[in-house]
Order: sequence, then structure tokens, then C-alpha cells
Amino acid sequence: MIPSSQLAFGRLVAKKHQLDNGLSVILLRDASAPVLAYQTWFRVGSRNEVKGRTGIAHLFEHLMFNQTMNLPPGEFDRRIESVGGETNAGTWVDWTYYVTNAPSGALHTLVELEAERMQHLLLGDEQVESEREVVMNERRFRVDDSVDGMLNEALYQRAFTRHPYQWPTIGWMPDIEAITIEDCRAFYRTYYAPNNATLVIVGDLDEDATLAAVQAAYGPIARQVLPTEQLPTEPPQLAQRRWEVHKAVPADRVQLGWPAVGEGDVDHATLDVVAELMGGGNASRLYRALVVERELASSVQASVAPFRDPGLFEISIALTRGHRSEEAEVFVDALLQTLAKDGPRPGEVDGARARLLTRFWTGLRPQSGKAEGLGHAEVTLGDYRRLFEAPQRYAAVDAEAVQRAVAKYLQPERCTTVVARPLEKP
Amino acid sequence: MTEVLVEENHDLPIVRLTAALRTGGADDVPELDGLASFATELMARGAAGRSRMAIDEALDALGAQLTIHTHHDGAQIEITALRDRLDESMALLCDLLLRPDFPVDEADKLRREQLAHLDELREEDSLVAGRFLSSRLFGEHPYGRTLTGTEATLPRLTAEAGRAWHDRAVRAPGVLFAFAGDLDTDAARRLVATYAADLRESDASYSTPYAAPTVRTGTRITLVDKPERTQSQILLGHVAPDWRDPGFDGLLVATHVLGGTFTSRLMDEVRAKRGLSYGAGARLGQGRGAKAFVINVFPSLEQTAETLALVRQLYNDFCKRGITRDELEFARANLRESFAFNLATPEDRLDVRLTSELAGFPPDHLARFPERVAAVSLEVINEALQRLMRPDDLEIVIVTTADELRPALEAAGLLEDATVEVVPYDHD
Repeated sequence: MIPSSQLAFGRLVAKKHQLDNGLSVILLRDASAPVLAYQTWFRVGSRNEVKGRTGIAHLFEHLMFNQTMNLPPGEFDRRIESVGGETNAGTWVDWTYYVTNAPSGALHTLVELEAERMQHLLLGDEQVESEREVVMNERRFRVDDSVDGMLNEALYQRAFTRHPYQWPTIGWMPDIEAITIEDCRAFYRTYYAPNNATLVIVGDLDEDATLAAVQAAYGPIARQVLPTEQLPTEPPQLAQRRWEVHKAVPADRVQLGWPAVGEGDVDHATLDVVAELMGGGNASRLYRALVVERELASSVQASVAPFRDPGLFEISIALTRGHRSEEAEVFVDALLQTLAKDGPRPGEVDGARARLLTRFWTGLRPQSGKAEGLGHAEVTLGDYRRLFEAPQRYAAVDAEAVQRAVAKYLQPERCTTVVARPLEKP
Repeated sequence: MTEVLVEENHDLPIVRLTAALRTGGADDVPELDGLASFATELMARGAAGRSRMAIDEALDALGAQLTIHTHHDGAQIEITALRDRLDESMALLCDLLLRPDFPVDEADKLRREQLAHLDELREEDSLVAGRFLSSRLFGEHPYGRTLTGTEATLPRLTAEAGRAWHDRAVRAPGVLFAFAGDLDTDAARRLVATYAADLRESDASYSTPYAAPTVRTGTRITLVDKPERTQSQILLGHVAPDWRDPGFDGLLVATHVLGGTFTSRLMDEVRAKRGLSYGAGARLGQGRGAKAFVINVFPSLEQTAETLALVRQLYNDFCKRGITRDELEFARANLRESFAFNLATPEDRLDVRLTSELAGFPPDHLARFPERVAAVSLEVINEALQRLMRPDDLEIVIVTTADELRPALEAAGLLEDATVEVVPYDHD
């Protein structure tokens, strides 16, 4: 099979193929270690859910490890572990992906097992109920007993009024409890189809033999009719939104979010640079003002969501005891206004760009990092070859672009703020 | 001659530069708990006449990432940078390492920052549980040090104390340099010769083994009380044997059977069959001295008593009945085949070597892991489980809302064979 496209990856080359049933296969031979990263990316996440059934995409991630027509419960993991492999999976707003890292000799086992669960998953009471309990415990761990998890959930719930990004990927607890077996079966039929998936295999592999094995195992799986996605557009935010709660915290914690752009937008890289300038390192503006100079906060983070549709530009601050969130918020506003008015200092953008590049290359070091980068670009940006757009776009960001992006996206009236304050003494 | 470790890979244009110290948090005296971490952090707050701000700006301009990591057996100061910034990055790393200024005003500020970080740490229930378990297991032993310091010891950590620590710790042979990524051995040696030529020497011994800790008998349950919990973070364990014990390799394999994989006994019984906890695992520590054997689970508050009873039963059975031949074969295959991941990237390979160096393992101790695993027999493993593990002498730490949980523990009879303490979560 001739690759439909390819991408130079440093000294390596990634190649994409497509089976007749629509399954995309991206292969990258990297023989630097005798291991394989085998990832299956499905174009389904919490964006594809509806109110009342939030959390089903994530619950499904759990169900995929359970039982298939030809594999009793636990056998999937057991067989992978028996060859020295390890499995994991992740679900977010735009995608769900399944990860196996294994010695390179395990390729045929991985192909067989992954093809099996793409077409023969069993969904009955027993499978759904045990995983539902696990997911409810996961929610308690990640959200209900985690101040940062709870605040981030509250931030997106309030910043979005129409788009599905308003609900958490793990789902609301009553929705997790309400999901039925019929819901799960319909979800599987609809989204777990070869023409909704991309297989990414990186490592010490023979390309022809790998492709032949994939063709033999996945080729017979029938393509499905995929639903046309029609998501509501989020209306512009015209006024500040604010929410506060009292929790068992020793000092205020605050998260702020501004509607930003999707990862494919050229301004995304500019906002990445802005996040670096504000909270990306010890010399960043907000860190220096709040942590170093005034000691109002113990930590500061800034980032822009890597989503297909516009997510949020986020700032998260942990205040020190005795200080209130409002003291930090004043600085956030002032520093953003200064950046919009005066722009970055000479050399400031160069440093931010170099830090982002260092992080970019570091993330691509292991085979699993390369596979993740390729899979994310293919599913979120629509083409794995766009992986290397990020460094090119960072290089194009200049002081003027930073000023323009701050003025356009990070105005106070577009900001949603959520705050956790210490419990009041009785 | 200063020791230099190198792991090459030229696929990507990045290099990780590490200065590793053979002095760690466990070497702190109890009254200065947290000093190693404090001193290494302070080294980046003023060096070679440059202020903290100037250092931060230099890192920014290089696009480099600075990581300072202090653990019990050592400390690492690392810079990850693009290949074309290698010399400037090494020059900066060596300024921090060899020429720190220990400014008093920065020491005062760092102390306040560390106190604030204690607050942040207390918001993570798993970290709170780990902190209490270490102090319960090890007490005054070096492995009982918190690494971060406590509210009692942080006020004693001064610039002067940091300078004295540096004077002891940053001397050959207590320092080694390690490089991973896009450079070769000649380039690494040139960097060390150029920028670290003034590293002083010492006759002191480094990475020496610690004495065995005192082990208490009986089971103790510590309820770490935190308001509004919906679930409990449970850690239970005891002091483990030293890696030098002939039964230790067998225990490593057995611990893998109990809680080292997704299909382990704990995951199967706690998560897969009953859905009681999102995660369930077991680990066996090894280092310069005897470390800990620890099991962790985190069930909902309502299911905490059921989960704790189940886990204690599983651990009892594990110690008394041992593992089966099938389990041994499965664990052996998994450990042997998965070992490749420990060596997959240059950073991974370097970390294996650094861990061995700082823990005082023989040079090939970790590299020979697959052979050692292949050599252990079922009889040796099960004898070691009975001889070395202590299911009746457990420290059990539960971060939970104590008033709500305690009646359930009493009703389940889980407090009958144990002493019980309730402590507030923000109490060191």
C-alpha cells in the first residue's frame, strides 16, 4: 500500500495510509529503543455528548478494557501485560485515545487485541455497573475532593452557555448514574468505527509487515455512517461572570478564563506565547509580581486550551494565607492592560518562544510522545502533518502579534472568575 | 576526577544537563529537616553575583527549563535546553552549583514560600497521607524527614545554614555530572572541564547506607481529619527489608503480583470485581537504607470500612499463603519484557544510572534486574513473604472526615486490634 502522505520528523519519516474501510494508519519507524507505542485515536469526546448523559465518552473508555466476544473479563490487559506491555487511555473534550506501550516483539498481539475490541465489545449489566462505580470514585478523586478540579469544572460550566465544553469530560455525577446499557450500545455503534479512528504506531517496527498485519486484522471491520456534527456556536461574552465557594483550603485559590481560539487558529500560538509571558516561568510577569515581589501567591499558571473549537485562556493562582483573590485579580488586569498597551520588552518574546520549543521537543522524545503528538494533530487539527505547525507559528509571533492578541481576547469584560475561599470559622 | 555520565541520542535537538548531589534530604539533621531542599532551591536565588531576577531572565533568554529535585538519597539540579544553547546552559548550571551567593533576603523569602507550599501540599489528600505515613513509619530515622521541612523547622533554615550545607555537599566525589541527548562524551567532558574546573574536593564519604529503623509492633490507625471528604485516601504499610537482604528480589516480584499491574490481585479484587476504588496498588521501596512497603487505595467514604477490611484480608493471605506458580511466571514475564521501558530514552537510561549512583547500589544492580528476577524461585519468594513482611504490624493512615468514618470502622470491628489516633490534616 502506498502512503497517502508523509512527514519528515527530524531524521525520521511518518507515513499515513488509509484502509478501504476508512481507518487511518500513521506509522513512524523509530528504532532507538526496542519498544512500540500503539495508540488508537477516536474522534469522539465529551463534545459528542448531550445533557443528561454527560460522562458517557469517559465511561466508555473504561468499558473498552472489559469483555469482548472472544476475550473474557480482564483478558485484554492480562495478555498485554504477559508480553511486557502496559495499557492506558484518555478522554477529553474532542477525542478518546487508547494507549499501549509494549516491547516491539508484541506487535501482532496488540493488533489482534485492538482490532477485537473495536468490533466485538460486550456491553451488559455486569460490565457497565462495575465500571460505573469505578468512574464515580474517579470523579470523587479528581473533582469532588480536589479544589483545583472542582474550580476548573466550575470555570468551564460558567464560561460556556451553549457549547458542550460547558460540561466536564468525567460527567456530572447524576448523569454517570443515569447512563443505561442502551446508551452505551448506541454510543459504541455510532462512534467506535474504523472510519472514525486513527491508528498511530511508533517504534522499532517493519513498516510493510506492520501494515500487512493491520490490514488483515482491521480490514474486515465495516465502516459506519457517522453522524453529522452540528454544535452550537458560543455567543460572545459581554460581561464578567463570577462564582465563589467556601472549601477546606488554607487560602484563596482562583481560576480565570477568557474565551480563546481553537488550536488550529493562527492566534493559538500567539496566546501560547502570552501564557508564557504571564505565567510560564519564574521571570514571567505574573509570577514575578505575585510570587516574587509581593508574595501574594505561592503559585501561578497560565495556559490556553488545546481544543478543536475555541476553549479558554486560563490563569490559575494559589494565594498565600491572609490574602484575598481580589488582590491578585487587580494585578492580572493591570499586567494584561500593560501588555496590550506597551507590548513585550525586547527579548521577552524570544525567551518565551525558546521555552515553548524546548517543551515541544522534550514532549516528542519517547516513542509514546511522538505517537501522541501525531495522533493529537490528526484528530484535533485534522492532519498529522500539522504537528510541526506549532514551532513554525511560534517563530512567527512578534511583539505586535502579542499586543493584538491580548487586546482582542483578554479584556476584563470577557473574563469568568471562580474562587475557592477558606471555610468560615463557626 | 569528576564523574561524568552520558547517554547520547541525536534524533532531537535537545539536551538535559544534570548536576547530581550524593547528599539528600535524609542527610538533614532532625532539627533542620528540609535543609537540603531549601539549600538547593536557594542556590538558584542568587549566584556568581547575579540576582534571582537576573538568573530567571537568563534562563528565560535561553529558553531553558530548570528543575531542582531533592529526594531522600540525593538531589538533582537539571537544565533542559536546545542543543544550540548548550554552553550557555552549562555555564549557568555551574554558576548555580559552584558559586551560589545565598542572599539573606532571598532566604527569608524562600522560607515564607516554603510555608505557603505546605498549605498547597495539604490540599492534595494523597500527599497528606504520604507525609503522615512516612513520619509514622520512620519517626526520627533519616527516611522520616519530610524533605519540605515543617512549620517547626522552616524558621531555622537560614542563608547561613544553606551555605554550610553547600560547603559539605557540593564537593567531589559528592557531585557527578550527567548528560542526555544531542551531544557526545567528548562534548560532555569538555563542558565539565570548562565550567566545573573549580569544583572543590573532600575526603568525606557520600552515599553511605543508613542504619535500619526501629520497628514498632502492633497495628496503628491514624485518622487524618479533613472536612468535607467524599472519599478516603488510605495508605497502609510497614518498614521493608533492605535491598541487601537475600529475600528482597523475591519480595519485589511478589509485590508486583499483589499490586504492580492493572491485573494484579489488588486491582482485580478492589477495582475490577467490586469497583471500590479507582486505583489500588502496592510498592516496595529501595534506597541507601531500608525503605517502606506501602499499599494505597482510595474508596468513597461510605465504602472505606469495606475496602479497608478487604485490603487487610488480601494482605494477610498474601503474606501467609504466598503467591502461586502461575502468578510467578506471569510476573516474571511482565517484569522481564517491560524492562525495555526503563531504557527507552536517553533520559530514562541516565535516570537508571543516576538512581544506582545516589542510592549506593552496585553499578549493575538495576541493569541486572531482569536476570535477578529470573533467578528467584517460588520457594524463596514465599519464604521471604513469611519471614520479612509484617501484616500484624501495620501503620494505616486514612485521610478522611474522621467523625463520619469512625463509626463505620468501629461497626466493622476494624479498630479492635489497633491503636487509633485522630490528628488534624494541617498538623505536622
